[in-house]
Amino acid sequence: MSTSFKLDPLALLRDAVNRLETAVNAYATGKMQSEQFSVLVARLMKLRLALKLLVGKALAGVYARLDIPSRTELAALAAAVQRIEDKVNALLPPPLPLAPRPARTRRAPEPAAADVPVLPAKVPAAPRRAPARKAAATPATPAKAASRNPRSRRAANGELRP
Amino acid sequence: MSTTGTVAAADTAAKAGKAGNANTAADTTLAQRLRQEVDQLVQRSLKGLDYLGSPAPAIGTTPRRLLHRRGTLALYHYNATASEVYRVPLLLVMATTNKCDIFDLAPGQSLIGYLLAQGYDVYVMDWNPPTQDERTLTIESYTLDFIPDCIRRVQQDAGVDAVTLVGYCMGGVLATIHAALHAGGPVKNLVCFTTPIDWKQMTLFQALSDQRHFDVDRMVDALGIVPADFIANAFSAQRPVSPVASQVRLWDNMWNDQYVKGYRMMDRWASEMLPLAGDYFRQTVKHLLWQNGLHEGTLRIGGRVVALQNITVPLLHVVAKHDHLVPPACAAPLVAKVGSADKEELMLPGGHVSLVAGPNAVKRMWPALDQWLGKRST
Repeated sequence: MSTSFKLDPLALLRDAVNRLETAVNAYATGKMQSEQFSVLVARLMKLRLALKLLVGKALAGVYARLDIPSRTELAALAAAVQRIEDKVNALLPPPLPLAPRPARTRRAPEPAAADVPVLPAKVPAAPRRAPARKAAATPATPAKAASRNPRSRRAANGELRP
Repeated sequence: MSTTGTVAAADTAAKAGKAGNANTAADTTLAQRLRQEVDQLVQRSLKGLDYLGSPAPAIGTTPRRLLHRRGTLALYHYNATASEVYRVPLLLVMATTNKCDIFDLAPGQSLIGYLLAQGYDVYVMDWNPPTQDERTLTIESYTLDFIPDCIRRVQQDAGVDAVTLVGYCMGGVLATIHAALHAGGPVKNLVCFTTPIDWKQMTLFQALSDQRHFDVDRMVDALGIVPADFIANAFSAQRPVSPVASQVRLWDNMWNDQYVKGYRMMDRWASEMLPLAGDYFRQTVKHLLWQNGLHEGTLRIGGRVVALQNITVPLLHVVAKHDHLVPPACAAPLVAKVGSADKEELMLPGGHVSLVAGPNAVKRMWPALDQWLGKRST
């Protein structure tokens, strides 16, 4: 049977996942901007810091009993080694390039007249203006009507065209 | 499958997934469609096992040499691939929350590889996790020490005085602050990607760090270094359901090698988030988020006011239309506020990460950047 299969349930399912993601993200981020959420995050932060301190103290005691260096001691040792490496690197000359350096003579290619510019429509650097008001139902002056209606016989300065 | 930091992966991979899932079978018979789905189901199962057992792809593989390293800072120079290069070298400043591998995901998806092929001399400021010794680093350290130091080293290595600064996200903020405080310096051009200026427009970050409830001093004093997972959770909160949705899409597209490869690269980069120096984080929250100092003109760095109108070099600001981290309204004021005569804002479709990396960046942002930068790099 050869029928056109336009309603693909799996494609619809995939689209539903995308839409659901967008919708739930928008809902969640909206809720997260409430003051209650800020209070909750701050409290969780304090709890986490307190737990980290307690666990750190407990582990330090365990490591001391087992005669094992703690994370802090290892980090301090790594930092000391890094300082020595940095000082050695500062004393050594900078590494030479692996290959001869090319000449600095390159010029930007001249754009041909027929070339389509690569840059998309760019936003000019002028300050942003306030959004334009919607056009009124009836124009205020004939000149404005003329500027909007290309078939009007009246030019932009109000004079009648021949 | 990593669920950490998958917001960025969800961002770009979702768009690739939507493209990959385009229903090209508008007129396909029902039998063909079912056969295709069964075939994909079998491939999903087989490739799913392969996915679980294989390592993540390597990223950041373009040949480079380490020019300088000092604690959290690493300055790299990428080997030129063109027979001649532009006179003015580029110094890319990566955001302090991530590694610079987003600029160099894979051959064919590498902004750095593209710039090298177009004849630019590319240097990158990358970051390593700061140690407890570096918890007192501040914005001054980055803008008045690291960036000028790297510019000086680039000048020395390249043998030229002028340098183009290119900053991405928070890297753009640091580059902008540096340019504002060093008017008349060696920076010849300034390029920013999705750089936040009006931090009041980052409404969810504002809510998460509500000044009335968030005790940043207590947190920084207790931790010293702000953990990477804290930063990652703050970013993930912008789109809380996306990590789950991206896993669903990943499973649905497991048969598609191209999709899976792109997902894994992006996921690997997104999961390698960096911790932040405590005082730098404290300053960012207080002076940028709470006081909106960069936009209001009240930010003081090194005792000097950061006035954006002091920037007079050519400026290009590329903004992402669907950026959920740095909305267009947050990025827009940069072009309006600088004093440059030659300045341009370029708004392109895409998200915060897909603007810079991914299939759409290859055809949109990269050529536009080359077109703007080429004639200003001679």
